[in-house]
Amino acid sequence: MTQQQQRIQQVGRTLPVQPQRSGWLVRHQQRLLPIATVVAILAIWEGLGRVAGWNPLFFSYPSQIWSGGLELAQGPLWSDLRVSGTEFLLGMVISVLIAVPVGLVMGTSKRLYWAFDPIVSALYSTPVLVLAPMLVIWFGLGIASKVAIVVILSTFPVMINLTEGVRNTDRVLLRAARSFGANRWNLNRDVVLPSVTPFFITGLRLAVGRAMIGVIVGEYIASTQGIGYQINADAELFATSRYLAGVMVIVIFSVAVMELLKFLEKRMAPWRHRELVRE
Amino acid sequence: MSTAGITASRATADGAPPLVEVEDVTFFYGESLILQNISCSVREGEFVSIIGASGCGKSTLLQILDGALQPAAGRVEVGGKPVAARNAERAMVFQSFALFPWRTVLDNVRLGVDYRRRDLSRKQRNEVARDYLNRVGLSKAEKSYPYQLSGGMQQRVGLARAFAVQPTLLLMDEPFGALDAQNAELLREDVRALVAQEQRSVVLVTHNLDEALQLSDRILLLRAAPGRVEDDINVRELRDDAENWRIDYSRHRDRLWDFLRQEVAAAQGRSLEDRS
Repeated sequence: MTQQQQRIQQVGRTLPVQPQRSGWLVRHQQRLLPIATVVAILAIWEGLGRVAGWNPLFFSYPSQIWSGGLELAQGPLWSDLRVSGTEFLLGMVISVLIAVPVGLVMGTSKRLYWAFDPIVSALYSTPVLVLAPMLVIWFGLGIASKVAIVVILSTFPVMINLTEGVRNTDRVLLRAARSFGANRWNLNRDVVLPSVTPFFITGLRLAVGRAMIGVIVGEYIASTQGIGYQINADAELFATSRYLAGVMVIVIFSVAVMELLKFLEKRMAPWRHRELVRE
Repeated sequence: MSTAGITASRATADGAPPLVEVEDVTFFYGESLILQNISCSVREGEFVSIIGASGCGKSTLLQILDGALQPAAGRVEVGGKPVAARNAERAMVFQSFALFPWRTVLDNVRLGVDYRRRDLSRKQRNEVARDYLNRVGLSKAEKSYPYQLSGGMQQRVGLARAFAVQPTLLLMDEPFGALDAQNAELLREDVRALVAQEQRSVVLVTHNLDEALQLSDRILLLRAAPGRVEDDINVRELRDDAENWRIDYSRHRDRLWDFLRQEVAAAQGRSLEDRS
């Protein structure tokens, strides 16, 4: 063996032959870190609550909130959830039914866009929640007034996103489709609708957040049932643990709906997700 | 085999009326005159490149041939009929590929077949698309989405989509412009092979002199502001003389570049004027 060959062999041995695989903790850190943060915060909160012994009328901590939640679950929670859920769903459905046709038409027609965009934008940016008391006067204490509040809050984000979606349809794609023989119907079905879909889901995501606010605030203002009503009642009774348990129910519900929509967006518009990741 | 095919089709086309006829076409964009009294023709089986500085209206002319833009005056006929927006004889290859991001590669190739061959069943249309996907070497990618492919592969899908409708006239708008030099070279080979195999007539808009000299039968030089045909060079004749072609190549290239250099300089001058 020549000296050079020996040298090559030695160097070869010292080189790592396989890429190093990082440990389980490192590989899953993106998932683990948020969980760890939440657990840490809960632990500190719980510890503080137990050690400090603050007045339970003004302060509560996780284990107390948990038992407050159990109390709620044995009591009015489910019927409240049913009422609030109905208001939320009904409001969202009506919003979508109004927003989809109007948004699509406004995106397609330049004149209608010019005519109505200022009004729609103004209504979108105004905190229309100030109209809630009037809607209560019109529609009463029951479900209808909350549905109305959700509708005036949630219609506009869906509408605006649809309009922008149609207006942002890639012109080159339209040209390509036309060049390859698409008729008007083909253009709408094969180009406009698919490119609008991610905008629609973005609109829905914004609308869901606003609908939640609408339901809760509506019930706060005037109602006899619902999660918002329950929270308000508990707050006034200084039943702080139950009150915070109600808040937690809302948090869990919101996060679940948001995650569902994110999942939908990934499923229905995978190219968009990937494009963002790529850049 | 392929060269014989082209010669044969050219021979039959020589006496026949040209496939594309453009006569005195004038086009305005808003108030500015983009094309003025453009006349040119393309015979069946011919590969014609249009060269000019940016803004000379070469893409506009291509879009007029595609029926996407209507000239203010003049006559445009393809296959003896006036160009209408949805005629079946053309297909376009775009610089930006223009693939549908929500469709798989196969569904993208099938686009034109779906619209134009309504007589075929879905299965048959898939067969056609698969066949052309195979010819550009992308059979394995049929279920992928465009964003999963490199630029060169995406343009291959664009090519397959255009060839799949079996157009008599293929329009290409700087099809290699968005690709790196090596991928562009590879794709040029593919285009050359496909055009020869299928005996298509091609109009190619490009700013690449070598591309024009190597691929085309004829080169149209377009002068800008307003756009009009400056020269019509028969490259095929020059290239058929194989021995001299190698020697003359750089001379022809220089001649094209001399023209383009003036045009590019003039275009820069114009844009400075616009700003002041």
